[in-house]
Amino acid sequence: MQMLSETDEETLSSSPKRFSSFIARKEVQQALRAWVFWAVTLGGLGYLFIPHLMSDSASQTMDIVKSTFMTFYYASVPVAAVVLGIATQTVLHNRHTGTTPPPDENPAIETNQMANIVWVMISSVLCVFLLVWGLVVENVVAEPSRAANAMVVNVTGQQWVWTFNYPVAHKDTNELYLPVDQPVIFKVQSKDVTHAFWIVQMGIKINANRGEITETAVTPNKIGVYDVRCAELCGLLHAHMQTRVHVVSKANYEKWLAEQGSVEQWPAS
Amino acid sequence: MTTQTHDVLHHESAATVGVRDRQGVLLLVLADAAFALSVVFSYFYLRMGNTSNGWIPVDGGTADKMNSWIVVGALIVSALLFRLGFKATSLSNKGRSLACYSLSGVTMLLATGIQLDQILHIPFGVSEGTYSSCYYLITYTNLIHLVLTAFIVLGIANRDRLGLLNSEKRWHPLVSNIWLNWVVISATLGAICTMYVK
Amino acid sequence: MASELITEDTTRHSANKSVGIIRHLNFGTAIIVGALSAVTVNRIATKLIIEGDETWRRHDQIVMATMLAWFIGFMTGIGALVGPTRWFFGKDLNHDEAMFLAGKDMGLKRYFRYTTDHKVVGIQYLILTISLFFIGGVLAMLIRTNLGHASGGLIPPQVYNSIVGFHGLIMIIATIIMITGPFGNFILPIMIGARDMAFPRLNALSFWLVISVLPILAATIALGGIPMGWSGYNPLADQGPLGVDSYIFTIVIFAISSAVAGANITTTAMKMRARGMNWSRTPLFVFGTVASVALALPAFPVFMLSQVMSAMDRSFGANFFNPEFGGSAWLYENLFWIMGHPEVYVILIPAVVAIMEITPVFARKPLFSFNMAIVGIFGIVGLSIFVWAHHMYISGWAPLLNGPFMLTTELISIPTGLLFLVILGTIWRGSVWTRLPMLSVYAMLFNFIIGGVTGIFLSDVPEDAALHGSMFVTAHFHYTLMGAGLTGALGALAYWFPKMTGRMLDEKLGRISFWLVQVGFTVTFFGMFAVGLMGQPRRVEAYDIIFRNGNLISTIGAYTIFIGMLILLSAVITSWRNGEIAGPNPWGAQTLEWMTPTPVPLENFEVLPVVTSNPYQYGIKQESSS
Repeated sequence: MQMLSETDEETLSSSPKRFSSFIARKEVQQALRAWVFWAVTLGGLGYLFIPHLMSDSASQTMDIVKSTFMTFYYASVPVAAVVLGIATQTVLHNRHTGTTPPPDENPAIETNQMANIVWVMISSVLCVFLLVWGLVVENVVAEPSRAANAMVVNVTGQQWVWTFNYPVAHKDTNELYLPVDQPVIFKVQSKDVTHAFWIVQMGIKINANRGEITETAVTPNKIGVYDVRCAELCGLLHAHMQTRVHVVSKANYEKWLAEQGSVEQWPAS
Repeated sequence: MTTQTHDVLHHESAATVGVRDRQGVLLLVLADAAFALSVVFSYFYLRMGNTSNGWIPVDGGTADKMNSWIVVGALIVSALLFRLGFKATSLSNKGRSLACYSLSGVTMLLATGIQLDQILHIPFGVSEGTYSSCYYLITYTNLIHLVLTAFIVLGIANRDRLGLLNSEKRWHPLVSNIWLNWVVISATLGAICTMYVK
Repeated sequence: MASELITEDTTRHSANKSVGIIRHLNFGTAIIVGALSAVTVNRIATKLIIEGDETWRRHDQIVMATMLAWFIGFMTGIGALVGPTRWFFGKDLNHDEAMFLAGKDMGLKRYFRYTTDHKVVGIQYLILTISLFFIGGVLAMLIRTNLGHASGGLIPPQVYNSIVGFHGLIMIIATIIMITGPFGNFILPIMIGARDMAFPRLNALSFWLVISVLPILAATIALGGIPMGWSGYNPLADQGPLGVDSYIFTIVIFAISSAVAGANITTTAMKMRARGMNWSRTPLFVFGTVASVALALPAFPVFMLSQVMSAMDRSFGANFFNPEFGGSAWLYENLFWIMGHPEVYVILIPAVVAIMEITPVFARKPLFSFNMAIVGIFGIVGLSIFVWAHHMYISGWAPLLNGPFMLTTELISIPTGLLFLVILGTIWRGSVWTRLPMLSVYAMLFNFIIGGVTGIFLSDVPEDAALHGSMFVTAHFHYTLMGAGLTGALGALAYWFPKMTGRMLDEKLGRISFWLVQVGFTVTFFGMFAVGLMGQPRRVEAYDIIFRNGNLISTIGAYTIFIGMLILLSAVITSWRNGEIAGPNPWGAQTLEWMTPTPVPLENFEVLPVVTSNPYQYGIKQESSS
């Protein structure tokens, strides 16, 4: 059974009048101020710190990872600010201390249809937004895997070292060399347990499984040296299963590829 | 069963307690069914995946597809007998119920024996591939079911012999009947799996 | 289903003589019988199991046999088999025996026996939970001490990986039982107006099953530890030493314990509510606890299967997870995560509903939108079955399914949002009675929003490709399971402490602990979000120098949490022994457990109550619409 407060009753009558009278209420004003405080604080802190924490970007994929993170963050700031704003308002203005319970004189509001509806609607809109964004970026991030001129590098993970094989040149290395602006498809597998091949600054990661070949793809777009790490606990030296990826100009890459000799693989233990 | 506590301490009627027993058994069946369905899922996952063509190796053995159905058959007989026994209990007909429960128990022991014998004569080792691993898993877990259920059926028969069952106190056989039906279903699921070999 | 008053008609039954073997069985006999069985079987197995080509498998078989013998011996020694045996032989319990089993007039001894009284089991679970958190917390301190030191590397990786795995396993067990164990057992039956749970002996069983595996878990220290995380991924687990067999055994027994407890709690809530307590008058705590255990009921057996398969692979050479012979690591991951995702809601939901039970009492306002709370809880439970592969986005298993799983995962944000709506709607325009339990309400709101939002980042497939397997994930799930979950449990502890122990929990120490824990928690895990964003993988004992500051900050926060927790522990101990005596209803709450005297009598109610309204009748009713 719903008990409606006087002000809630008004919500059933004319829209703009009840909205402005709702906003004008003291506690709503207080909550709005708290909301603004939290939105600015959280938004500001995020703006100041988060972009610096995330690695430098060496691919469009990583750019998307970063922009997704920031977008989702800014989208969630107003939501978090609602939660924190309401909590703050109550703590600042309705506190009751002592060992006896508070007097039983609060409004016995058991529900509020408007609040329920608005809440569900906003959650749903946000959810749809997240989903659409997710599907779109998933598609963009998959572009390198569809590129006609993609090169292939075979990646083998084993306890506890990465080996890269360049099928065209029959070359095996322990450090990855890639030409800039060239889509590359990694075909990844493992010799023993499950590892995860992760190029941190390019924002790609895929498990390395024994008996299966998995794929991920990216187009490095910045020359530099980046980190390859293992992201799936694989036993004793998981923390040290790291190597580097060198993104170089096309010319330098061709030169490197032509160099004689393969790196000896770490013998399987 | 544990609900004797409520019978004896709180003087609640057999029906009140029995309804809870039934609910409890249904929930335990739900848990067990999750396990069984996961076994079925795994069987077909591995068969479809056939990683490295390892589902059944080139010279690998397979079991006779009828094997599991023989066990299922014995189980069905046991379950039908038990149900007849339960009907007799509901009518407080001790002579008939005791005969049915006893025969059901004997058949259950027979089913257990057959399953055990089949296990001892599986024509391949567990390591041959994933089919063999699944086959061992299915047969051994079925065996565990059978042993547990034989205990329950024989327990019901014994309790009937001691005069503890009648139309009012029929809840233990009622609940055991539910369990028994589930054991039949789960054995059937296993048998269906083993029909799909190559 | 009104019950009569209990009359102890001792003339009708013969006295203690009829109690039989049960009176001699207790924790001590359990350990003795368990140890003797284990040693005997170990000797026999060592002789019988023939040395072959695969000696490593032989050791697994011996260890498995030994553990099984311990387990059966322990459960026999505690008296778990007495029930089924007596049932088989038609020797049903008489009144005296039932009273004996319920622990009547036994004093403290009843906590060390196979006691059926739900209040005893609740206290047993409370002590167990506190102990598990303590051990898990010490392990966490070892982890953080290692990671706070330079670039880590203080503890050798073999040991470190085991510590991480055990920290995870012990905390997962602890968080699963932390509310349904102590409060689901002690409080829930009283809250619904019943005299005990539906299956009192199964209640004792579920508790002692967990106790039986603790020595097995401890034995891993001597068996080489575990190389994998608590998630037990194969094929890594297959490589592991004998300690992995302990892990496997623990999971299997724990799954059985959970199933038993789940059947018990669900049946109790569905069939034993007091007269007049229809579903719309049933406290939310009951709904949430039932939702949690009913979700666990079909979920944990799937994990159990994965461990049975792992045991078969290790001990008998099966190939479930061996790709050369047809097996697949993805099969393991699917089985694990089909359990693994529902499991986090098994942990979270009781904490949320405990907070929802606390909030109206301390805000002095009805629970806002009871129906929305139900929709939220059951929406989460229902959807949670369809999201598991968001843990497998980068596994390579089924890339085409990533999109659908992203959809289902993001949908969960909607029912989750409803839970916030209910709590916020309750505190809005209500009082804020700043006692200990209310502090947890606010802490949960703060932590849960952060935990939930960071989950949304991870649910986005390309985002997950960057963040999966990094410390960001670790921070996210600590925020949800510990920041929201454990906070809710601590609130529940402060709230129900007076009813369970007859004393008030020390407010002053509780507050100091609260602030240390919450501030420390924020510092710890924001440091962790930071290094995760920067690219530090999880489950590493050493790291690149760039992660140094973040780890140092996390470690400082962790020490703060630990100090806060120790203060809380000391508050619990001192308050329990000589805290302020509590009246029957110190909070002025309306759920039925507060209507009994404290301490609660053996059979809870002299006369079973009849319920006429929901328990959130606070505040001044507004004028109704005409």
